[in-house]
Amino acid sequence: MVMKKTTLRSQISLAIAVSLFILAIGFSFVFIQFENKRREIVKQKIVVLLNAIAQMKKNDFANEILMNHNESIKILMDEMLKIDGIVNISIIKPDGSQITSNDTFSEKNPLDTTHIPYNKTNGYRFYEKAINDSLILVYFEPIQAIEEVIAHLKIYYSLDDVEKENRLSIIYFLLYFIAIFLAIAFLLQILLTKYITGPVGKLVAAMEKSHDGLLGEQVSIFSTNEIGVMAQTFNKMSKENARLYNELKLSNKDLEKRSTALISANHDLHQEIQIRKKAEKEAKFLRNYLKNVFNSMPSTLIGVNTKGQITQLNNEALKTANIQAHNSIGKQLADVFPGFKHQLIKIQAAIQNREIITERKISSDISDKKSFSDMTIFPLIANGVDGAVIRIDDVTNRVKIEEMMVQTEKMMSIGGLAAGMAHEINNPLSGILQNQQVISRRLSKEIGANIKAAKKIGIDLDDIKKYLKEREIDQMMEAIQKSGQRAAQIVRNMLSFARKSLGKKNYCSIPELLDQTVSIASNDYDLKKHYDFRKIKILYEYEENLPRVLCDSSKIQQVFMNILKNGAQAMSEKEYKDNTPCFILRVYPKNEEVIIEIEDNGPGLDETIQKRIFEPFFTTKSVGKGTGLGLSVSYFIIKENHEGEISLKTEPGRWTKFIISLPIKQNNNN
Amino acid sequence: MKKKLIPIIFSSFLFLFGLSQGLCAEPVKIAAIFATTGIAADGNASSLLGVNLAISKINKSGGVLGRKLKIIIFDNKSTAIGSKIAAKKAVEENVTAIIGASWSTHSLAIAPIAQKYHIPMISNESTHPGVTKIGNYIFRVCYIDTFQGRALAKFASQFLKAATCAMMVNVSSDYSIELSKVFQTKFESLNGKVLIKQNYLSKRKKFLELLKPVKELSPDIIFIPGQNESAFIAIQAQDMGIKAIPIGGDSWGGTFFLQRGGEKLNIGYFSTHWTSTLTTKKSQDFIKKHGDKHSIDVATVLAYDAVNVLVDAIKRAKCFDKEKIQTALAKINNFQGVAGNISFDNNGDPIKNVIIMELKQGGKNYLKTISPN
Repeated sequence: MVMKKTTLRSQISLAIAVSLFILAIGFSFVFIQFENKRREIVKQKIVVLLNAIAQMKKNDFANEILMNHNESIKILMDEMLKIDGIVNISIIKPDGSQITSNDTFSEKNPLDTTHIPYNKTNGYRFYEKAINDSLILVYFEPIQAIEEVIAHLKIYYSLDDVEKENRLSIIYFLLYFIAIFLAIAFLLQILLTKYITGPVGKLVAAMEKSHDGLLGEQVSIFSTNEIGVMAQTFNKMSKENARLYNELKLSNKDLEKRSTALISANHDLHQEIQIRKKAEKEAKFLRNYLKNVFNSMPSTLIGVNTKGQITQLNNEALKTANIQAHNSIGKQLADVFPGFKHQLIKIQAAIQNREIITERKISSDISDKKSFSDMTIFPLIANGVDGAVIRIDDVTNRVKIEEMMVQTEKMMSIGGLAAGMAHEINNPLSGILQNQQVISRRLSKEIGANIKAAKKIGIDLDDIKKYLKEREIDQMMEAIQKSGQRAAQIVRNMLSFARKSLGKKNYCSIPELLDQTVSIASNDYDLKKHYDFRKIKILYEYEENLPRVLCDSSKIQQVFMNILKNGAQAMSEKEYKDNTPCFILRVYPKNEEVIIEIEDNGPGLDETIQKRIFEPFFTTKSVGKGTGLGLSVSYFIIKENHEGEISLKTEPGRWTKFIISLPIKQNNNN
Repeated sequence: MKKKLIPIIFSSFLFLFGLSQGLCAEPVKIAAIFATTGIAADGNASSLLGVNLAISKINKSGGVLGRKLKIIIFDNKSTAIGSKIAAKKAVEENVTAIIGASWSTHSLAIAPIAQKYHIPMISNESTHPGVTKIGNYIFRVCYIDTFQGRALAKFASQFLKAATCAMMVNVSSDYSIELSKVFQTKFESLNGKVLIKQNYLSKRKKFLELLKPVKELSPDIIFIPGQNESAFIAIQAQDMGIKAIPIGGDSWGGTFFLQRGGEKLNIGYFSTHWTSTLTTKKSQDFIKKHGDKHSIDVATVLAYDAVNVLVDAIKRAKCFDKEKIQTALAKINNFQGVAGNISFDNNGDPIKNVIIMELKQGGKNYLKTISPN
């Protein structure tokens, strides 16, 4: 930082200037007050003068006004105008008519004096007014004759001279003060130079010289004041310094020799220290590096000693156990991680046998959630440190994915099997149904061929009918037809698994599809038979501005119908105390998908059912009631045909929720 | 008998009562409104003298209708306002009549009040035509400016053969304004030319400044129809070397005119109402009786006449009722006054001759009489 060099001279000058400036302001303030006062006094004097003139001329005016001698009034005015400063005289009669000596001064409402203060003792008014670019003092007095105001006298006195004088006076004052102040400043500067800044400058110059190395410098200042004393002291000091410096020079040479030896020894020591410092730095870096590696591992790493006490933990371990590092070090592993109680023996064994032990898919129930983890125990062998490092990896997600893959594969194989079966069954089934229909037709009386054939063999068709009835063949025929049709329905459903994308897809509004499905469900005969769909309350929670979704509307409706049917049936099996059966239908967008939630407040599902609910032929209904294909077909429609997701969430006894997510656009479709 | 006796006794009582009342009755108050202070005071003193002379003569001879006359003097302070105030005071004093004032301006201020309260008023020498036009209670015993002005213009043009004229007008005097106006009209109609008209106010005493342009123009005559200040103008003009002949109105007839410098005037002409050299019997009697009094002038005589006209009217009215006095005044016919005979016209103005006087080396000489016809 560079200090700005300030000199004693500039500082004192500044002080003088500031003092003079403040003084000037003070004086000006007083002077302006004084000037204003003076102006007031001058104005008062003018008013007194005008009053005197008015008193002198008032009676003359009164007489002339009384006799309407306008010429006389003019002459009287002219006489008054001879007085310096008076620029106009006006006589205003009560009716407003006026005689003015100078028309440029005539006013619109000459008698309007409401705003002007009235001098009660003297009976006159006066005010200042700017007329024709000059400041005018207007004197106003009523003229009376026999106790009656017969006119008003107005005298206009120009204050221009007064103002001019005022201004001049201020200018003179200012010039005068500026001159005085400049003189003072100049004088002070000269005195300052002679007695203070000059000698001080010399002293400073001498000091600077001695600082630069010129010892024994002498100053010639012959003053008796403080600066003189300073100069003498400096001279003494300077002499003494020169003497001391010479002495020092001699002893310094001796010292120089000794210090050379010391410096070389010092140098060696310094190098040693540098090397050590470097080594220490490297060690520190390595430690930090290892710690970072240890901490950044996604696995839980715990170090234990032979006694099973924790010696080291990484961040993941702390997170899992939800503890602080310094709290847990030194504690028993089982205390910090209760899940490891059963593993202690294995750890001990690993340490003793000095072999790596790996344990896979250890299941644990933490906070009611099933989780799986892999554990590896590495015994520590090196440097005689006994103990082990335990690595634990959470593999819950991996296990779940594995399970899901198994499930999907199973589903796919069942689908393929079902499709093949359906194809094979369809042919004989159609034969059965066709033949059954032919039999019915051939027994009918309405066909001529039947009657002819009967006559040919001599049997009456009625008799045959009677026989068939007698032997309940009619009913059997009906049973054949019904069973056949049922089988056909199953087959048709099963074929749905096989057809990947046969239907036509359009952009559809999901809420519309849902609403249509609900209305169909309300009128479904089957549904009515078992449970009244209309008794179920339905809450709609659709979000606005939903995008349309490319889908096969009839298939999606089929999915909705299946879920609604299942839900309605499930709810019919539950006894409601506080509330009523209720569906909540939600549709909302999420990223590039539309999510549909169908929630019922039915009895919910237990875990085994949850797992198998999308399997074909899995049903909880009594035999003959359901085919066990509804939800599995739905699963295939969503998953295979629409590349969507269908999942289930449930809380036993409370609610079940199907969550369907449909991508707005699918990849293999345009 | 008894029935006849009662009215006789009653009426005799009334007669005695009336007689005793007549003898011991209070004097009749007559107001004299003139200036005793101010610029008009010295001139007005002559008028007051005339009033007093007339009153003392009447009272010596037993008064009017058995009652003495008491004159109350109200000072008008030489101003219009003072005149108005004086008139109001006279009204408060419940005077029977007003004598005065001398100056037209003052009379013009008094007359409206006199008219309003129905007090007969007789001015001795206010010649402004407007005075008597204010009402039927206002009279005067002198001619009016209309006549005087014409007579003077005629005189100047025909007798003096003047072709050019300068005029000095006292614009605070109605008399001066009116007289100059009439003079100018007549003078111009006689092919005269008014070269300059200088206006001034009553109080003025020094006229050098106003006379300078007059000197430069060097007119034949200088018309000065002023009041008391006329003498100053005339003599200052003469001193300045103005050759124009000064001519004035009836105000020049006052004694003060000579006192104020008129004596030094080399030459001058003026109109007047009366002169001591008048040969009528009344005039001769008056001079015989009062000629020794130094301050007697035309105003004195006119004031004397005014009082006598009033007394004559009261006598003929036979009572002091103001309205009846007014009626009697209006009917006055050929009254023998000191300054000529008086008969009032419809305005209350007498028809009288204008006398032209010549001023020469400090002396007044009768020059000629101009009759109104």
